[in-house]
Parts: sequence; structure tokens; C-alpha cells
Amino acid sequence: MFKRQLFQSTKRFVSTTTSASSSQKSSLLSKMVTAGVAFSGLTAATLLYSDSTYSKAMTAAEHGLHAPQFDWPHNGPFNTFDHASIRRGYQVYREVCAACHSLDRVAWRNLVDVSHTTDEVKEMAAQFEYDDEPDDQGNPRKRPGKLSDYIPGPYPNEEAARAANQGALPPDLSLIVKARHGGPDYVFSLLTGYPDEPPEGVTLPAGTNYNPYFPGGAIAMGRVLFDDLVEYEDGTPATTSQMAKDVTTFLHWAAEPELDERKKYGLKAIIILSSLYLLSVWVKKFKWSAIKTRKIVFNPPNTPKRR
Amino acid sequence: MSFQSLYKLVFRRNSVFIGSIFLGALVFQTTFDVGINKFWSTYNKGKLWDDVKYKLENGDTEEE
Repeated sequence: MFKRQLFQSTKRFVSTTTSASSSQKSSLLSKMVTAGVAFSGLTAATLLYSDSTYSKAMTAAEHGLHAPQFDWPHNGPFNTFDHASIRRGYQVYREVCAACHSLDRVAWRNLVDVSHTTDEVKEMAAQFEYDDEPDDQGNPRKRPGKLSDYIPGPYPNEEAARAANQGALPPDLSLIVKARHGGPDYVFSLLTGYPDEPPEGVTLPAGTNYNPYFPGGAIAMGRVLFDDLVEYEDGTPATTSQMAKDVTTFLHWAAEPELDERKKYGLKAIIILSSLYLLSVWVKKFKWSAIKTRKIVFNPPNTPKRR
Repeated sequence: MSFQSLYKLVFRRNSVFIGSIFLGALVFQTTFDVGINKFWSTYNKGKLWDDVKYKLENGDTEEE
């Protein structure tokens, strides 16, 4: 019974295109399907076109201007960071960025022998107060920072940060270079990319500034780097782009402190693996040489001549 | 070193053979690492922390 039904249903399905008896009906159906497809296609095209005349989807305005690639000193497979730049960058972070941005994942000890000497970092850490164990009466105490402490942020928590910045949360900068598309190029472009005036036709929400590199164009952070804002101890002229470069190098180091080790390991791995590969090629040739050079000789048996 | 003397020196006793493998690994890794580090500091001369430290200690500003 079931088999029969299945057979019938199969037959009916096939018959819609082949059977002569229902050809009229099927041609009407196919016309309707064609009309439906054409209608929905045209509707979709019209909607897409009308959308494209005012929409900002998939444009530079929506995704932010693509940052150009800069020739960083640490680009390339064997290049380390410019450590003098990291040192200057920390100064820029401390004097400018640290007013709003935290650096939660970097401890004072991480700066030792990267940008500052041990004594310098100890002195820098000691200028900040950290919670200590309570005294005998249970009163909370404070102590100066140590090398093992993490760099304190400007705000005690996220709510305080938002309240102080009109609702906008300044992101933590520890991993910002890794966390943004374009990496250091983006951060540098953003810091130096504030135009004096927003372009015509751009309306910005209250409390935001225009920056073409920021997705959407409206960024809560204003331009912060101006020429000669900080005074470098090594006498480097503190132009806007110099400070942006230094602080970006510093933040790149903060996001990727393992860069040196990573590149060294890469170099070692390439050397070892390529020599092992060449060795394996030699071993293969050695082992196969007997087989490759052997000669097969065929001696036909002596067959008596017939005639 | 002929193979004969190499055999006498290294391969004849298993304990010596194993020991030579370990010693060889140790020596190779150390020299390899030292070599890579040397290349690294030569290649990156002027950008390293040691260079910055040198300038700091010698009070030398404005020099690349």
C-alpha cells in the first residue's frame, strides 16, 4: 500500500513536466512562478537601489577611513621595537593618555629593561598609592606602589569612567593595538587624523568629534596631541606626529611585549626546519641511490629456431 | 676523524652514546641561541634597550 502511494506520488511529480494531459496546467504554473520571481527580483533591485542612494553601509564613513601602512621601525621579520621610542611613548601616555585611559595589563616590572631602569620604575611606582593590609584596628591602609603592582588607571571603575566622560568609556589601552583593525597604523592615524573642522554635511552627535579614521566618524575623544605638548628628556622635538608615533610604539609594545622572543623563535624554527628538510632530502637520495641506479638486464632464453 | 675512531669514541657504549646526544643538544642549543641573539643585537643596533641605557648612563642626548 505504502509502496504504491509512493510510486504514485513519484509519478505525479514527474508528470508535472512530462505528462501531456496536464501540460496546460503546468505551463500556467511555470508562468506564475516566472512572474513571481521576476516581481520579487525587480522589487529587491528597486529597494537596493533606493537604499544605495542614501545609505551609508559599506562606505568609508561607516567603517572608518582605511589607515595607510606606515614604515614602523619594528616592521619586518627581524626588527625589534625602537626602545627609545617606547620610552618617549610612556612619557606621552603618562602625561596625556593616562588622564582618561587605563593600562590594566601592564605591571611596573614590565617596563624594567624595556624603557626604564629598575630604579626609575621603582620611583615611578612609588608615586602611586595602593591598598595595603589593614592595621591592628582594622583600618584600611595605603602603601606606595612596588614593581609587582599593575599600573593604576585613572578611574576606580567603569561607571566612574563613563560618568567623567559624558557616558563614553575610554577603552583600556593595554591591548588596543591588537584590538583594532589596522593595528598601529590605525592608532597613529586616529591620533593625527583630527581635522580642524568636520567636513560639510556631517552632523555630529553632541559631545563627539569628527575623525575620518574612526568607524562612524564621530568619536567621543577629542584631539589631544598638539605640538610641544610634552617635553622629551632626550631632546626630540615633540611634534604631534612624533608623539603619536612614540605613544603608538609604546602601546604596540604593551600589546605585544613578546615580539622579540616571537621573532627570534621564528628565525630559529626556520633555520632548524629548513636544515632538517635539506637533511631529509639528502637521506632520501642516499637511500634511493641504489634503487635508482640499478640496471635490469633481460637475457632472453635461447629458443631453438623453428625452421 | 675516521668512522673507526668515531665509533670507538661515541657509539660503542650505549651510555656514552646517550650522554653524547644530551651533551650535543646542550652545546648546540647554547651556541645556537647565543648566535641568534648576537645576530639580533647586531641587526637591531641603535633600537635596543641597551643602546637607550648607554645613552642614559653617559648623559648623551641628541645622537643616533
